[in-house]
Amino acid sequence: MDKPLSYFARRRLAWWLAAAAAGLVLVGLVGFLRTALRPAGLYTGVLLYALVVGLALFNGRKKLPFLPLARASTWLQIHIYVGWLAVLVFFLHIGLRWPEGAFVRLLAAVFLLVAASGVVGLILTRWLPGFLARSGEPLTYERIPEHRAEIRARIEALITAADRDSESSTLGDFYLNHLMDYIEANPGPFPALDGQDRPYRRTVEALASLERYFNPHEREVAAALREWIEAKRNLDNQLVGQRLLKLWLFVHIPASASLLLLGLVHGVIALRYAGGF
Amino acid sequence: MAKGPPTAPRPGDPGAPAPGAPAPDAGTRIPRPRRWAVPFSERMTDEKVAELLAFEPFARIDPERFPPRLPLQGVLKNDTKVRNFEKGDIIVREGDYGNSAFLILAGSVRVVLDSLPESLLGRQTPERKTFFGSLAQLWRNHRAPEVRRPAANTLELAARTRAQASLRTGRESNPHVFLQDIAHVMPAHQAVILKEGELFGEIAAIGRTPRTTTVLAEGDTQLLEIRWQGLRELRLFAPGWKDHIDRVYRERALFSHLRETPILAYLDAAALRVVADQTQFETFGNFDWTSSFQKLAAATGRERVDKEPLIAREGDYPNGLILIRSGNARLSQVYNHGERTISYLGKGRAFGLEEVLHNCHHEPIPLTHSLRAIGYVDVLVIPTAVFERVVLPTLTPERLEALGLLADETGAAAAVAADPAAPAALGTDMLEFLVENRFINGAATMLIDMDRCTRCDDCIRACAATHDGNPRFIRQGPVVDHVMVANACMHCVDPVCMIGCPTGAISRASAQGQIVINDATCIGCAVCANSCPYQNIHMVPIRDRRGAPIVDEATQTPIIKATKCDFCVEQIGGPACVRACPHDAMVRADMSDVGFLSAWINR
Repeated sequence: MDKPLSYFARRRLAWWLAAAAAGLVLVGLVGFLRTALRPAGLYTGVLLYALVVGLALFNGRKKLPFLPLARASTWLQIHIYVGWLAVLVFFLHIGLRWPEGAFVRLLAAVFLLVAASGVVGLILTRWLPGFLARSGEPLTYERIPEHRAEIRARIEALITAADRDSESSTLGDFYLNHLMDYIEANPGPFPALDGQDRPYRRTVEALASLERYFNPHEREVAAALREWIEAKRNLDNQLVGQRLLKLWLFVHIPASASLLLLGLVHGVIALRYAGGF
Repeated sequence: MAKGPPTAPRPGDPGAPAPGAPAPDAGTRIPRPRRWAVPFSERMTDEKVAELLAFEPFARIDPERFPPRLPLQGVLKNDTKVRNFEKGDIIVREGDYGNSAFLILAGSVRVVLDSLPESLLGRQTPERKTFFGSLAQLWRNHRAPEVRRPAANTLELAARTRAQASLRTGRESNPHVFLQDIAHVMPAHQAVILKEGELFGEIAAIGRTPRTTTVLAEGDTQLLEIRWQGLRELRLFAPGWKDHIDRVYRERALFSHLRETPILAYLDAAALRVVADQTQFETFGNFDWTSSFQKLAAATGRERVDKEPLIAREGDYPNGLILIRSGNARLSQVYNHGERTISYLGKGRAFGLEEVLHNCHHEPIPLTHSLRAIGYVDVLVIPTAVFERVVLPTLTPERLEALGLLADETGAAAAVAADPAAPAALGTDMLEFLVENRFINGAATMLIDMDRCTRCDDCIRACAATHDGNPRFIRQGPVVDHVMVANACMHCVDPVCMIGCPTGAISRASAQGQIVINDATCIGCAVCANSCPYQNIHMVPIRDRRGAPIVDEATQTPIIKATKCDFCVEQIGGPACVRACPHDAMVRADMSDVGFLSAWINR
């Protein structure tokens, strides 16, 4: 209990407190505007669009790494907590009612998609790095096919040599019946959590069950095979984890661009009919 | 799928032309860069060289000892330059990294022994890009990798241009900074005068360390500046020079180091001289330790420890206080059948202090740890008797406390070390990993927290965007616990990559100490890349604007250049990689700052 808060926990607490304070002020302000019969919807809409534009600037910062525009990690913190504020402003803007009309419904759905993908991305970027680090040797995503080919080649060389040297087909049969499928198989879309990586476990168990048929040389080869099976498991984990870490952005960024565009159209229409211009 | 920036092809990569092989699509042809294509000075004429050869230190050298490819005349003509100074001109500044030594041809210089105020030293801020210059990288970066202007890589052309500019202005491009109000400033500072024929600046030039003193011209003074490549050849082929340089190096290094040692800070000049006279100067390991380190790559941890030169052994009687002058040493303790690393000691740290202080007042105890050289280590040994007689009386309990040492219950100076940088928080595995791989040599080691790194490659994209589309590091490297030491130049405390460079293309940026490569003078010999113990320097074939290879006009083979992380010395915001990381996963760590290191790892 006496363990001091980590740097990240303290930072998170400070940002949450600041965001909560800003949120309370916003809720109070919107309540006041409504009581005063001012066009709260217009104000919250303008504020919401400004927040969305501000959030999109984070991507712009990434394109200008050579300018002294504060650290990207500071930008990300702002992005996260301003994002939460934007969700609050969104609900204040729609008044906790699902909007009517196809266009605004589309706009609201896109906003929620952006927000939800952002939350998913946040969870993934906080969880998956640790999962990948514990899985084994870090691999570069673009080189995973090369690693897979190398694993297959090494295993085939081991099996071929073992079959020849020991005049036994035990390992060769194991390769044909189990290992080849495991090596060739592509992993599923989500990381195999503890106890759920069945193909890996089935392969390891099948190899262990053959122990009684091995001579000493085959036993050595089997130990080497186990290491390569472990390497394939790590490769699958790295592939799935890194793919997820990239894929969520393929939802978040295009959806954000759509939101900017649809929001602009919505704003122009709203201001036009509100008599703004 | 998101794609990273185009990475530079390297020899051995698919599609990259192998060094030495004719380029399939020979683009721009230039003469292959070679040593002495760009001399240190355009103004060194054969007449000047002849004058120098008659000058006393050179007159004694036997030119026959120099190999035909590196004649003495060639060294003097290409690796030296004559420089003139007026009274008060600052020749070298304390704290700057220097790559030259100076021989006094005429006049005298004043070596200021204590530190001058920073405000008087006129230190230049490094040249950085302007805001708009930085922004222009957005559209000026080339699409092809490793694009160079062929003209900038034609060394003769570069040399000619510089010579013409020099002739036009009538002087070398070496603006002098002078010390203002010298009459009022100097009396407050200790100084020694060096006269004609004496050499200075060799400590920093040979040891790859910052200058330890500021040196001013006493009056009109003429100096011969010898860049360290030339100094290296003189040491190698002129035995008299080697003895002289080594003797002077040892004497001055010893005195200046003792002067900087906190525990000796309370000694007056006379007492310090007594200590200096009795202090033994010893070196352990090889100056060029890369090859021995590479041979140990496959060795076990135990074998590596056994190969490290032993400076002091646990259980032996402490004969003196050991001060680390340069390099790094492993502090270890016997643990069952092996040795466990307890810490590593760098420049300025002391070994055996606890035991020596204890033994001055109590029943003697032996050394409680062993000390081994990691790479190349200079140590000073102050004999116990001298320490007890000269140093101990100055160490009152209050002073010991000020030095981070605690007096015992008797109030005497039998102290126990209260090491403020105790590395226990790093953990044994991390310590062993950092020491055995010699990552402790890094002054800006790239560490990546793998528990936070999302493999987004924003760091690499940022690096590429700030280096004309070419990333200067690889996000890969050995991992221990959750920390990766990435393949990026560590800007080492002891940059062994600089040792063999024939042209001086790789050097320290003056004030900050980053190791940088001058692309124009790099001849692509790969000595630096082969010397780097961490494989952080890469050789790349260069291309013209169209992406066609630039080739040697004589052999049609590609022109190769050494590239590496330059710590964004030209960028206004500092290292782009660290600033680009959205997840706080990356840091450039000074490995001598164990407190910072353990705090970062255990955030």
